[in-house]
Amino acid sequence: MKQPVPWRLLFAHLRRSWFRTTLTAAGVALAIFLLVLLQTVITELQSGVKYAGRSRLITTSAVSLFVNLPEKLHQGIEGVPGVVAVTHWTWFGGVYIDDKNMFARFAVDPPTMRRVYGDLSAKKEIVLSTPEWEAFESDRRGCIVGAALARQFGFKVGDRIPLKGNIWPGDYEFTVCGVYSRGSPQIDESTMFFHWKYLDETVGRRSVVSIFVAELDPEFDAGRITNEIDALFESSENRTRTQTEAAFNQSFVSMWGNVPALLGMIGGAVLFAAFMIALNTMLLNARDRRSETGVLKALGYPDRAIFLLNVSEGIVVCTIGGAAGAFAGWFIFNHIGVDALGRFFPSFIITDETFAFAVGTSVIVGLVAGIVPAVILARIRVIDALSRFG
Amino acid sequence: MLIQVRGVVKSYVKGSETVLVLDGVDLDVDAGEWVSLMGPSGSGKTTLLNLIGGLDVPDSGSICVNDDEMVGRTNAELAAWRSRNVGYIFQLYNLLPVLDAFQNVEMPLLLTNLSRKERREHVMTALDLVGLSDRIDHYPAQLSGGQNQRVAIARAIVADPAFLLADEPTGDLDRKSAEDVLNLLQDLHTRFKKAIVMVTHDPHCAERADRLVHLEKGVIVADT
Ligand SMILES: Nc1ncnc2c1ncn2[C@@H]1O[C@H](COP(=O)(O)OP(=O)(O)OP(=O)(O)O)[C@@H](O)[C@H]1O
Ligand SMILES: [Mg+2]
Repeated sequence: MKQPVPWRLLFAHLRRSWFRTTLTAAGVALAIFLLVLLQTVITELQSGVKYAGRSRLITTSAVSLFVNLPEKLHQGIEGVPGVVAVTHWTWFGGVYIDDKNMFARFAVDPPTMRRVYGDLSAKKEIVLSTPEWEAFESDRRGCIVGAALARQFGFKVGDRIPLKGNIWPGDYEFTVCGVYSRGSPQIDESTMFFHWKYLDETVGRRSVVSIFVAELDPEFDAGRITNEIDALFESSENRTRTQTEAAFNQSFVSMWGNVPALLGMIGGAVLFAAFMIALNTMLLNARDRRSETGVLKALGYPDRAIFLLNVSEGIVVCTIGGAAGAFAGWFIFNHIGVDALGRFFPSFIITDETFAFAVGTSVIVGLVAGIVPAVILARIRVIDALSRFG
Repeated sequence: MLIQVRGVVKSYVKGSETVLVLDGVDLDVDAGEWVSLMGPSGSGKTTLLNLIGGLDVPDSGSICVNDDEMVGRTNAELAAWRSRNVGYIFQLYNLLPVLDAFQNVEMPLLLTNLSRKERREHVMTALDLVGLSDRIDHYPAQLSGGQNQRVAIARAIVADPAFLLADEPTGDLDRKSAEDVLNLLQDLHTRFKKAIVMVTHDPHCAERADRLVHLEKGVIVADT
């Protein structure tokens, strides 16, 4: 049997009560915007774990992350069967003009870095053109900066960036050889990388690095290689601790403690508020639609059509609001960029997953908020709906 | 025999109290017949009309329309049956305020398999019949009471039902508009042979019908 839903009424209602509709959609939009924001913070905090290379190990000093390792250990690591390439990162610290200009600076070995994060990396985690890579490799005082950092400080290729060392004393000056972007969320687009050799010369050849990064042949067992690397230095004065990149990144997330859970709870509360707004509107609508529902039923519209008509209204209003909120977030953070957030979350980017999650959530909010009044109206008896006594 | 009501009993529960509204009503309405239903307020006229129109179900008794038993059908079956067989005219018109006259009249046709073009033709015919073809894009709030009731009549007849049920169709109208509405019903009755069951308080209105039925305290006391 044909059971058409009188859809024209849906649009007629939205038009007629446009003020109520707009307010509700705006409330949901605001909530979804906040949800996107919170979810992105959580994603950013955890992206290092989620997007970590599957076949990559990080070796640090067994004592602490803050104790350096001799650079020469890389030979030993490279010798372990299954290790394809080894590169290293060294935390620089330092000051760019003013203490307030905080961004991460690492001393690296450009050729091996290019191999591990560029050529060997399936996702091309660090995206840099060949001429830029070559310029970086050949200029000992060269550096590359992330796109977000370049945006924030207006760095362009050819610019000079002076840094004052603190952990590594000295006055340094770098030439920007390239601006990289990222192929994976775990890479931060507001970091500056420069030659470890320049640093090492300036401080008088201490020849130490913070961490080693080993890229493995995926055919090999990462767990076994982990043990083999640590075994190499077991009895030396530089005992090492090797772990997967995911585990290494997890230790940074752990520093945030319960923050992600807390943010999740705030998100839940915001969502609940949006739900209440939507539910309130839908219940008001239901009250206004009593006699209309009676008429539709008297004309022969089945209960199912009444249900679908009313539940759709909730879904439409909330989805429009949710899409608007998510889109506003996308536009503000991914398109315009917000410097204030950039300081804490250099690569504050709303992922497709977060966007889809937010819009999906608004659909569900609309569905749930719409179901209650839709069921009430679908089940009301014709004579009660048409009754003048209410 | 178009409508055959036999021994219909209907009561409503109001709080802890049960109100017996119809107490064994028998009524026959022939095809093409116009019956006026009169009686004091609370005598059960609307209730009887609702039962005949399949808007409600009796506690006991039988209601046959075109030899089909209505009692015992599901809500969905009754809804489908209503859309094909009954045209309602309410005292307060009950048009949908968010739709214009054309769209209001078209509502019953959306439940049929008619094409958009066919629907348009039917709607225009119905609105023409009630003399409102120049008001198709007016909303109920932009029309007078009499005009609203004529739109409602157009809606009631657009799907060409066998009979019309009218609950005080002139109850909210001034003399002139009431006269227009009655003339319209007369027209539908004589030209299109529609059976009409009309509840009214006004003896002058009731006279237009072929037959007068008096209801009192849930029983039919006179049938002339
Ligand atoms: N849905 C309902 N629930 C409870 N009681 C009802 C309901 N509908 C009607 N009644 C009661 O049933 C009785 C008859 O009502 P009905 O509407 O059929 O009377 P009526 O003859 O149409 O009166 P009126 O001329 O005032 O329209 C009244 O006492 C009314 O209060
Ligand atoms: Mg009545």
